[in-house]
Amino acid sequence: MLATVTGQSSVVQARDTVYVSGSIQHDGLFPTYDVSSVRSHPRARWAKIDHMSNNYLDLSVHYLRQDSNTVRFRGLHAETRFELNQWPLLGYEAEFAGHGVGHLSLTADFDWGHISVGNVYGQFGSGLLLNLYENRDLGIDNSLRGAKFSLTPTEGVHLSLIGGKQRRYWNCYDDRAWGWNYTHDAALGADLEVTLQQWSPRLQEADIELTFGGSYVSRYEHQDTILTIQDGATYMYNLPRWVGAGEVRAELQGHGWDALVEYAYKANDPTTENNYSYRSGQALLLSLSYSRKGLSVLAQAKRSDNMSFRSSRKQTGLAGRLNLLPVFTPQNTYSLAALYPYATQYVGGEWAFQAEVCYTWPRKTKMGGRYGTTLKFSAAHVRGLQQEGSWAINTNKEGEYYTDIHVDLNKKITKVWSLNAMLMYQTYNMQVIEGEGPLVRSGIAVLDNTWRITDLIVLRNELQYLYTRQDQGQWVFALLELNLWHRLTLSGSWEYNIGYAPNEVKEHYYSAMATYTHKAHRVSIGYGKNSSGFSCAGGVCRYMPEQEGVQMSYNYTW
Amino acid sequence: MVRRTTHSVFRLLAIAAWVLLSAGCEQIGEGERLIAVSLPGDTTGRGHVLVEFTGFRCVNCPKASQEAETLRQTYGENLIVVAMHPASNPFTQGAAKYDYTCEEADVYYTYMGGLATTPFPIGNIDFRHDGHGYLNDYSDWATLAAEAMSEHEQASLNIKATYEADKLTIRTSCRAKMEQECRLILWLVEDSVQGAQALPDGSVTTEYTHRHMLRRAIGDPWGETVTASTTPAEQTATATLAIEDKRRYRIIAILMNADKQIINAKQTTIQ
Repeated sequence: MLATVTGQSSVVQARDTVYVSGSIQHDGLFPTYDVSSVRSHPRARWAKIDHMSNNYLDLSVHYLRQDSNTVRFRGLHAETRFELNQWPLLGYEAEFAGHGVGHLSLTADFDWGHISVGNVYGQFGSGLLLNLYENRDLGIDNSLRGAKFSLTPTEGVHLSLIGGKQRRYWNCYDDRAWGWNYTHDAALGADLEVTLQQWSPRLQEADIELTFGGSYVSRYEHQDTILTIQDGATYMYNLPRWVGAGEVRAELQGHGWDALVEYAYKANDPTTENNYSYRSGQALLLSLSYSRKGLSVLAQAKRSDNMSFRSSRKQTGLAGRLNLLPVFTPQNTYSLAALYPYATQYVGGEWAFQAEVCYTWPRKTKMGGRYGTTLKFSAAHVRGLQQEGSWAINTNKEGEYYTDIHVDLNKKITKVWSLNAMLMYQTYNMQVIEGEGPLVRSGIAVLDNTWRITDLIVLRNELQYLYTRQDQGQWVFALLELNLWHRLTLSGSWEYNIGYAPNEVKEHYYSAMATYTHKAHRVSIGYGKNSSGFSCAGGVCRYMPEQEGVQMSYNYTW
Repeated sequence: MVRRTTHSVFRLLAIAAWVLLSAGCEQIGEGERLIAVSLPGDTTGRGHVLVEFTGFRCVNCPKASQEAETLRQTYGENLIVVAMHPASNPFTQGAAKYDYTCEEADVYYTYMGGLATTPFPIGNIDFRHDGHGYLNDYSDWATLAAEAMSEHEQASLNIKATYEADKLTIRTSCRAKMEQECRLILWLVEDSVQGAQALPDGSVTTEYTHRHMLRRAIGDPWGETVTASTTPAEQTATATLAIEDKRRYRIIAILMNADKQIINAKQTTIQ
């Protein structure tokens, strides 16, 4: 189930404002089959019916100084989040289950920056060393319970300091210290970014922005006793309590162009994940893009090796990650195109390349027709490293991790009818990404039609087909969605595994859903049988087992 | 005045950042990475169980199996290794000819939070929860085994197994200084099963020797209730089954406490 609530109350006192905001979110499932084999959490039963749900209540109190011209202090924000995930939806890690105050923070705004105390988020550069964020779909909250200073001492200079103990599910309750106990582990970081345009009249005249940045992140963890037996003798690893990592970057922007180069280095960081290897980690990111009206071009390359940076040596899975390597593969939204999503290889490393060209023919031209036409070509290719720590690309067959080449056409045909058509070729190295399985080569076709029958009635349908001879073989998917009065959406989908491959299931999957939106309320209810698969965001994936039952959600924000 | 205060704050923060971050990296030289330690060893005679969840399609499982063998050699009779192939994990699936799964493996795997996507190899010692969960990466087994060895024996256990005319008879006796209710679990384990296995280089061999493979539990997977006290509690379990070569099999007896943690284990060959 999913639930959210919206509203706002304010008290005006002379020049200042105080108001409260918040949201409620509820996502739930009443399964209609025995889920004990796929459940990793305790069960909840209401009237002898299994039920599972994820629930969040966010509450914030804001105090704003209105006359900020004369006052250096601009406002105060207190935020908290209560989470009730005692019996969560399927597919979340076992430690995700729990309830309590998952987030607490107090932020003071000044005209020279912000100071936050409590659970703090942040990102340095592209996130190669530090990217703290919340993603409820994946069950991730990587915030640090500590403090953050974001300062702009002068225009063009930005300094961030951050430190604290990372939230790893409910570890803040471990020692009854509410996460303020830093004797076990903590992370510290600093980031400085300088934009030179402020001091160079030449750059100002040329309308070019040149930015240099650098950051340093250090993780502390007390000395664990980790043993290994080698050649018949027992040894204890001499583990570094402080693991440091540095990053430098330069970005040049102007006249529609954007060029970025970023390099990160991580010192010895033996962990469970890298089998207690003392090798250093490195990441290099190159990006070049250009955009003007009707045209955008992007080319990127990334090389990473042993760059999993966590707040705890023994942590594996989705929690406890300090960094998030940018994903260089497209995040597909169509169901079958997202059937084989790529997950970034943090430990083993990878070379990733991505290129994208998007062009829009204007309306009333030969190619654009009456309403214009947009064509997008995108290609992503990921390969392994030749060997551990090598800069060479693994050009062997097993070195191919992922390929995604697709052409996407978006066109409005008539006043009421528009379509999006996509053709895709994809390869997916199941052995590398999931741990076992073949190299899956697939072809995917998608047709997405939208009919705006009246201003208040919109009908949309999707037809998708996936062809492959590996894994589960061929799939077909169809969706019909009717939107009435911009408030009520009725949708039905059907997915079938045609098979003709070694792991074929030849199963039907279906769903029927009704969603109603009224002001800040959004409620949906439906019944569905969903196939198993991965939910991914930013190259981080969560496995979702097959599920069938009544699905409900409610959202309210105020 | 305000500007001066602000500059002082920035200066202080910059100094604090410099001090904290310059201390924030510890480089361990190549010759300093391993510190030799001597293990106290287990003098109690208590048996511990290393459960190794594995699958023939898992490329890194032979490495974990080797680690388990190294630990077994280190701790001798005090550490019993059992390989389980749970059907609910796809690493065990895909070729009926090489089906090493058994229902009981899935019972224990699911109990420990194993899912279809749990990466293999993974394992557990004595069904203990380490604060993060039950399932531990094989690089942590040596540490967990050393920790387990330091625990004192709460109940003693003896076992004897005979097989005659399709009938397996297992006699056990246990006793404890303080009376406690336990679960007595019996496992049938097969050694030296030649078959398929994916190897770390990605290739597959059909001549791999699978060791200490759990074939079934004798009786309920969670065993029968026994009361261990100063007076030996003797139990006899029987099962009718066909065993081609009894020399390849072993019986493992396990005593679990009310929290489903193993407090002692013993193994025997079949006479």
